Amino acid sequence: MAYRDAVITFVVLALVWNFLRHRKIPPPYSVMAGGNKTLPLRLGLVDHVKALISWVFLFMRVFWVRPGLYQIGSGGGQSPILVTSNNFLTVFLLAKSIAGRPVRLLVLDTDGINVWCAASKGKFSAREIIDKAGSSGLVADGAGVKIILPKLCLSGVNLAELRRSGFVPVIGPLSADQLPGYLDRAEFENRDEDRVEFGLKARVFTALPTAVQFFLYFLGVYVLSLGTISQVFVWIATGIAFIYPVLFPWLPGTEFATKGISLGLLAALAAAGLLMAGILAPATALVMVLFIVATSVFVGLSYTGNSPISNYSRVRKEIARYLPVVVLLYLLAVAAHLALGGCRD
Amino acid sequence: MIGIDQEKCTGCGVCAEVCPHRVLEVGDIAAVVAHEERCIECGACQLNCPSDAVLVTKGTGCLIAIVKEDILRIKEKGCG
Repeated sequence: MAYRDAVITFVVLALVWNFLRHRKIPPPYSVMAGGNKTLPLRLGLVDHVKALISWVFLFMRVFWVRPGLYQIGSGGGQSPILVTSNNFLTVFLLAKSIAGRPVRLLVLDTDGINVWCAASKGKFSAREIIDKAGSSGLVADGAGVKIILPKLCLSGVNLAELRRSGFVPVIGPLSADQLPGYLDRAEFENRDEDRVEFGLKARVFTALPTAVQFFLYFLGVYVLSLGTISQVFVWIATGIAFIYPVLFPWLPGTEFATKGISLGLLAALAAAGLLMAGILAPATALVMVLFIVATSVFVGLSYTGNSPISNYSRVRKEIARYLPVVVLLYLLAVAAHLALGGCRD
Repeated sequence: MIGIDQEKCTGCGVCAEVCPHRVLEVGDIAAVVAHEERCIECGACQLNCPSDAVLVTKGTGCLIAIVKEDILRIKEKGCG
């Protein structure tokens, strides 16, 4: 990738993202918010393409679903009601998992943010549910309407407030793939025993979006440096960001940052091996090692936001302890790069 | 940090029900923090406690959010 190509890629991606993120793109099947009727929600090729793009750019909110009440399958006003955010991928995965089952989907206006983050931000709240249920004509069904909530919304939803408004809130499953089995039972029990798991499948799901996130960060740095740094760094950072989530539980360390250090040292050992083999010059190897360790720790700290297991107080401590180290290592890498003249293409 | 005010807690168990990581358990007379290491400080327990008995340092455990919200203070609290 020549510098000119990198600039073009970066500018095009920035323009496309800027265009998309400022549009609440209504799907072709959407029902107008405020209406009192439900329409079927169907998934076509365009939705699959949009879902793929939404996954690749998972942390950038490119597509939104128009809030409102959607009908999936037949069943009309008697079908159970699921509440969710208007994050496109969330609605897509929900609709996909419960296709064919009679379900009504109450999509809240969370500015395209996923359920958990929207709840933290106060956008997925009891008030929003009550308002959206009212504007969608749901309340006309009468008091005692049972609504199934995603368990991850409860940091923003006060169950007692919903009950006071006449709803019967039920704590539903944590993820969309658990819904079919859940809905097959006539009585919707509280799934309060469920626990967030962060297994290989969940980590692999975040690996590519994390890699894309870091590719864009470092492509930006490469472009801003006017091509004076090697584009190899862009690819190294992208690779680290992909590997880190996959290897997360097996990396030595108890903190996100120390796991990053472990991965960085492993990669640095590889660079040292290339030095010994005469493939890398000493100056290049030094810059590489500094950059790799800095980036691994940075990826580790950044991954706190991409995982469902980080803790606010502990992350604050990690930032105070390791972010200065990251900055220092990057400064040393730049200084070494300039002083030793290594790493040009 | 998470804790339960044992004097205020009635042991109703709603905090344990809403916790996504099953950090809390209901003891004989009150809830207890059984797995503090799992807590992500999302605040679901605190929001839903009818007795105001849960004490938690609520926040988003995310580098970008903490830098924007706590250090630079250019965004309101909450991720996204």
